Amino acid sequence: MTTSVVSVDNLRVSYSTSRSSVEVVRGVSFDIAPGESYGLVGESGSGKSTIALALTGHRVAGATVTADSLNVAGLDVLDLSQSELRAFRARKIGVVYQEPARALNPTMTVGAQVAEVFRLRGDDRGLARRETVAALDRVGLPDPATFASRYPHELSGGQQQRVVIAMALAVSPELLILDEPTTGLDARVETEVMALIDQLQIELGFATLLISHNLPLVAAHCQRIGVLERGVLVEHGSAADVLLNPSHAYSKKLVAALPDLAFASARNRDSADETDPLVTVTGLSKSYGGKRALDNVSLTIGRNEILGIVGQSGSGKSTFGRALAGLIRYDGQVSFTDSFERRRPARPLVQMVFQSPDASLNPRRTVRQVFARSIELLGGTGTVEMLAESTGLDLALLKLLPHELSGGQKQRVAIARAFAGPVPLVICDEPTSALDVSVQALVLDLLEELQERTGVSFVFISHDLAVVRRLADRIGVLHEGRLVDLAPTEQLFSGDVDAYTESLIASAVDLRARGVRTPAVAAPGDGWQANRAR
Amino acid sequence: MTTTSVERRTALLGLLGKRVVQIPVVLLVVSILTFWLLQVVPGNPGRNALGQYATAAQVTAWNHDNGVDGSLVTQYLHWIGGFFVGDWGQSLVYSTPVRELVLERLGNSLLLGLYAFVIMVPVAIALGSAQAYREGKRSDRAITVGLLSLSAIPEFVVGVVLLLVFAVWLRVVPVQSAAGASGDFFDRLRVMTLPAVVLALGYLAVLTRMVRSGTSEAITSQFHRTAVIKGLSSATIVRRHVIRNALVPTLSVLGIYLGTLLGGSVIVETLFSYPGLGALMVTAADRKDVLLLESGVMITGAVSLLALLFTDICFVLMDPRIRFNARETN
Repeated sequence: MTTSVVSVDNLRVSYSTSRSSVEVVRGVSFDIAPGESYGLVGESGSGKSTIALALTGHRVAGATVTADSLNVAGLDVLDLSQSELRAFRARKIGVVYQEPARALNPTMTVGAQVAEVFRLRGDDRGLARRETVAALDRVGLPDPATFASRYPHELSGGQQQRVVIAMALAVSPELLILDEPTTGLDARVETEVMALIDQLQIELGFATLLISHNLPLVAAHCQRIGVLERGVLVEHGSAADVLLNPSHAYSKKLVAALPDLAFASARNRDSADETDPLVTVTGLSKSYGGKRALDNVSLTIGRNEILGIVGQSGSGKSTFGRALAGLIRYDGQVSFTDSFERRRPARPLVQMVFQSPDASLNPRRTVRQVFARSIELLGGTGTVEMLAESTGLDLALLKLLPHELSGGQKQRVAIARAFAGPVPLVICDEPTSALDVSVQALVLDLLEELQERTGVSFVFISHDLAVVRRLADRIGVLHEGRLVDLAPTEQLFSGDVDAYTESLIASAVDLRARGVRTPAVAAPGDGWQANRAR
Repeated sequence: MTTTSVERRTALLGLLGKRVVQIPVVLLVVSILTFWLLQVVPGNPGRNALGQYATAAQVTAWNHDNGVDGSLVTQYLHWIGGFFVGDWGQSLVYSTPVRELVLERLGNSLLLGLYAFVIMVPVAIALGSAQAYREGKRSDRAITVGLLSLSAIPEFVVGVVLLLVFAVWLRVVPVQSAAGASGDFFDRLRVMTLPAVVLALGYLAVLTRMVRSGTSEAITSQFHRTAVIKGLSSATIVRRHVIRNALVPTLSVLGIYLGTLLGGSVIVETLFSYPGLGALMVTAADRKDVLLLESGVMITGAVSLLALLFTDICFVLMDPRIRFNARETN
């Protein structure tokens, strides 16, 4: 026990307000050996981030932390004085956060922020500057000396996360806590960031605690996994065991909910007919400033078809959706085959479902008000209750405001809103990216069911190939604004495709394949991984 | 020189260049509007200046000499031409050159406004940040209620009460601040304190509120948490991670207030008989002193615009994200 980097026994955290007290972590115990990677998996609200904060000794206002033992790097975190706590944070641990853009101070150069850690150790200015450049170099940032004088908003998400990693590892901590480190990053960047962490772990020998809702990611990185459900550690074991033979009902549910890249959808593809297009897009282009976001994209969207659009962030996929919906000005042509324009009264032709239902629902309108208004605007014939039932929403939810709903319920409301009346085309822009995996599966089911029932055409935009494969009849791949591939789904996964598409598929497959790999049988050519498996 | 600092310097120079063009254009439009609006005020400037016993011929001659006869366009061109070469004309009411009058009063107003500003800003920052660190506690609410009540009371009421207390009962300051324009530095400061405090109180509530929300946003932000978990001391966190981010939203309000304060305040100047620009403008408008009013408006406008420019520059220096380029938002 004394050799563990982390030793947690019966950790309990509760938040209390003046009226009530909620226990969010309920008696969690685990150990992490030096150099080991331990993963905590759970959905939002399961208490996993709270555990991470408890390990750093950071106490959120109103939180009560108790434990039989909470030892990190040989220190009892609960027993440290303020100054001891600061020294402990400065030397023993590093934390990488979920949203690097928000974890970095927007008004300080990234170099200054990394240098702070060295200055804290007592290094003088010149030394700290040189060490900062070295630290930025180590995390693979280009031209680190110049890079240090840039501000966070001038970097991409992946670069920001590398800066945060450089900052966390600056003074060689014994424990690196990774709190959803790649959520919000693209599949390719995610692979790169995780590979970087794996590689640095070999070099520097720190232990990691990886916290994520993404089970395959955790399984790929960690030797042991703990599954958290509402503050209770319901299962723990080796990564392969948990992923391949989950024993607890909740873990089974998590594993089952994973959209599997290997399995195609069961959709009846005969119903879709791309030769009878609903929408024809010709030469669609869009520039922001001097930067080309969309470059001469031409395609058709068939009646009754689900067209998947994939690409990394910055590939122009969201711009494509917005142009299609008429939300931005663009060059080129988007024309509907039928002359809907002559419908009286004029009704919208397009509806959109956005990534974040929090941002797309008016916080001061109840679900009933949202639905009633949408039915009126879209010329629907049903009632509010019928709309709720058709999207699997409990009628009791109708009187609630958005903040009283869960993430999945909110997204259902946003989807229902788009289906309130007869609309020929629905555009979904990353509709499940902000949701937990189990909820994600249900929302995808709902979208599929609605499509079959109503026969509308769908444009489904996502960075997640597995999700798109499950739903789409055809997939278009966008890269730097250009449509590099457009093919029926199965053909795209098996056939002759653009090099970029291939790399996209490869990194998606890799991410999942690593998940089921047992550490002991790592491929021989797989350098550092074989190394870690010893 | 790194690329980013070059970019920022270009942004700053671009901003300055743009303002150098914008400011004169705005002032020109303001001067035309003021000139035109003044025609609504009844009365003949020559008659106002010479009194009721002057003959019609004398009035006409006076109007001609002072360039206030003929068509509106000729009058305006005459005035603006003079204004640019430093000949601002003769005040119709005071019979002294407008330039001296305006610049002297402007000096007084600038001094008073600056004094009020110097009192107001530290107090607002201290109160606002103290509130943010005590958010939701009793002291936070007490300060909010106190400041809002203060700002709900009109300036002249607050002024009169303060005059009663400090000038009439305690006799630490004079009732009239007219002497403030002369005398040695500490005398002037003593005389100006009461009007400056009254001016500052008027804006304090809103400013404190801004500081409070800015600070509260900064200390609940994720980068603040990052700084805490880095192991930095509280003092370092405040100095390096809070102040700048907390004050960025406040800065925009501050620029507007600075301009308003420096341009002179009618109520406070009148109440304390302080010889500032605000009181002078009221007299000029009242007596249809076209030339005086025009020059006064131009100067006040210029001061406000320069104050805004000053805050814009501070903005660029404080927040690297700020760019003043129009950009398509979607």
